[in-house]
Amino acid sequence: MRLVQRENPSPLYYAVAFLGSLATVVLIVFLLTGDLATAARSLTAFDVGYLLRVFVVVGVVSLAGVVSYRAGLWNIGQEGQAIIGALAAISSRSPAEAVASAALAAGGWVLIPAALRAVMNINEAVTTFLTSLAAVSVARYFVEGPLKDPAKRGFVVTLEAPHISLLYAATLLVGLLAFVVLLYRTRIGLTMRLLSAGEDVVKYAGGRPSLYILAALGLSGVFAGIGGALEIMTRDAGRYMTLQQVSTGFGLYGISAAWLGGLHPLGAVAASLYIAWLYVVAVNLKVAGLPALVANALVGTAMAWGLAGYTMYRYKLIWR
Amino acid sequence: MDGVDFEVDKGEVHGLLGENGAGKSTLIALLYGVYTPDGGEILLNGRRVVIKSPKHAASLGISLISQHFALVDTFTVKENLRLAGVDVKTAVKIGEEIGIEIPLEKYVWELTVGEKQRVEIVKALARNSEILLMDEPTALLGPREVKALLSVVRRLADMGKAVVFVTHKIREAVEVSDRITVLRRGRRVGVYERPFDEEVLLEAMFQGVVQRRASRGSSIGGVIYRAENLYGERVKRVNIELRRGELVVVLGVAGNGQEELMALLSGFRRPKSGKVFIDGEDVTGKPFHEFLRRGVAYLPEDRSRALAKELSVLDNFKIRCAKGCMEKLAEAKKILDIDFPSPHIKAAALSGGNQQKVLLARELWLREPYILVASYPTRGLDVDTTEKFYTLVRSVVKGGAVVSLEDVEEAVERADRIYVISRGEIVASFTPPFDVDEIAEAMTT
Repeated sequence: MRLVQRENPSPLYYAVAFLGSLATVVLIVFLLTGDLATAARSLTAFDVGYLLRVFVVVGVVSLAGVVSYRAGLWNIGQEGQAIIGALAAISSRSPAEAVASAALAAGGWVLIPAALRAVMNINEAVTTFLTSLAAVSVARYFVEGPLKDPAKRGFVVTLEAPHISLLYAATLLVGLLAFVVLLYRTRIGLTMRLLSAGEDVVKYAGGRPSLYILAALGLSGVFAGIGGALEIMTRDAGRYMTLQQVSTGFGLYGISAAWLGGLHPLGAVAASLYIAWLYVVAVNLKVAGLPALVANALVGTAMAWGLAGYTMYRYKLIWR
Repeated sequence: MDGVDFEVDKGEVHGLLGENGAGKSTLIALLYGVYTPDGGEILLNGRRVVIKSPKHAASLGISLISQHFALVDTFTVKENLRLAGVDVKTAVKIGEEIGIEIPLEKYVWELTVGEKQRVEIVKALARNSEILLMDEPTALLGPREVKALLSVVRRLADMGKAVVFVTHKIREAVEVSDRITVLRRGRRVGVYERPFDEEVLLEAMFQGVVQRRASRGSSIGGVIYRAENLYGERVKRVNIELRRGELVVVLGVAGNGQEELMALLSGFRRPKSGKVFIDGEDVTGKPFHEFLRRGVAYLPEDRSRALAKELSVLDNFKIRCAKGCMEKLAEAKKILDIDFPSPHIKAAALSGGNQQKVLLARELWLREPYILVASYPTRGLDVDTTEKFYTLVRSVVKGGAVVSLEDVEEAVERADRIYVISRGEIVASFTPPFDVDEIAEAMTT
């Protein structure tokens, strides 16, 4: 069994992957609930506002995946960058300040792995993952220390982040999406994509590879940070962090959406809606008494299908 | 390959001699089952065989020792032998018989090219190969390793193996072979037996080649580009001059440092020492975009350095195109006869020749560079496209061009000046009228 590169890659396989994922989810939900009625209810019941909220957050984070993976860079630390973004939002007073400081803080945070990659060629997949773990510790430090809410005596929680309406958050997503689409039409965006073919190609095109590595990873971090900020700011209530609830899992969901969307900005955002629906289904299952980790499992299968779609798109399988 | 007869006996070293492009490698590929012949037949011990694949060839006792070693760098020699299904003790014993010591515990990445080659030879013998095809086995070796290899080859013949020894170096062929077959342009010129006459062999390899074009760069001007005492990883003491209107060829057998030299000359890589001047101005060590700005175009041997294969043809074109790219690409497509169904198709989907044409369109036709530095630009191109390339160079390159080639004929036909490169050094330079024998001699020493 081996993989052979296709001469003419076929985008049809992304549709196959999507249907495969859908079938897997329906099957899992049916197996878990055991009866058709509960399964149908879990798959169809949702609150539009809630779905939209998850969609916007996942959509923004998925763009973080797109700009990084399209440049051939493996930022898998969106979760950590989102946490840093959320912390920045908590320490801000207005929504605008929160978004701006989240972008700056997460962009700065990702510069550590980006610089290591650009200067010393250290694998960014390892370092973004490790800095993600570090982000959890950093967040816990802030929860217990500088950002602890003194008013809530007896409870270790942070101050509340400013609220942002869903409409503004959605507008921000559209803006960021338009930014990426337009960026890819410019010379800078083209050179960023050239990076996926190797640093030599960027150099050949007249660019400096290290600058483009910093730019692509930095932008990816900025998006993930904004995603993290939006996640905490769009909550109706409880816009704070606790020691137990530092990580939300939206980083992983964003990565899945990016792959499932064929690493195209529009595709990724479209796939984010699907991932958001999966998340809502998972919440429904939790309400029906199933473990909370089902959400991760469902999104995990979607991610596997997304990668399978990418593989089928580029390669064909030969059984000998 | 056109109606070639070839035979090798047990216990014989049969030299297969010819210029680049003579068809030596094609013949080897046919004997090893890489290609299947359009006509003719192969007899093994008098029985007709159809060799379907390299695996099949191996099962028939045929081994290929090529310049591409089938060894895993991060494994030790011992592990590699086991991986190949070879009994280590047998391998060591065989090694002793032919005077090869096998560094079992060394990692493959620690080995010299010669050592790797010897491991491959032992591997082939341990698999009971009766016929050893050696494709340019000395191409990457230093003089001492060449000597060692030649004596191993002689011993293989003494053991009763049949060895086909492919080379373009007359001296080596003469030293090691019992018989020599000379190929030229896909045909057999003749089979020669001991004692060999080097003059006769040389004549057979290059006969009738000395047809030169009447006209070439007619108005050659002053020096516009100069490389002085250039050193790199493999490149040593290189001095090259390029005049306005000139096409300079760096000629040599592949793998003698040409690729690095071209990268150094184009500014894509920085030299370890030495200087590069464009129009008298020192540009040594400047970043590549500075060379681009001064009108240098670089066509690397490794196309993946210049083309992002996962991106569309149009995106690749846009690397050097700012406005009206769609129209310009369509025009280039027509002029250079590039075959692609849509500008949005990935560059990877194009054939090698068409990828090269896209590069030519972008770097030459579109940019009209001042200086062109190109590594084997015509390799893999058909006659027609090769002609187009040279026409393009003469018509759009405003200053001059430095091109590395491996084919004497092509060089003599096209160049205004020829530098011969060997082991990273320029060993000779020639100006018209060219003497092919003299140039070929310089290439093979």
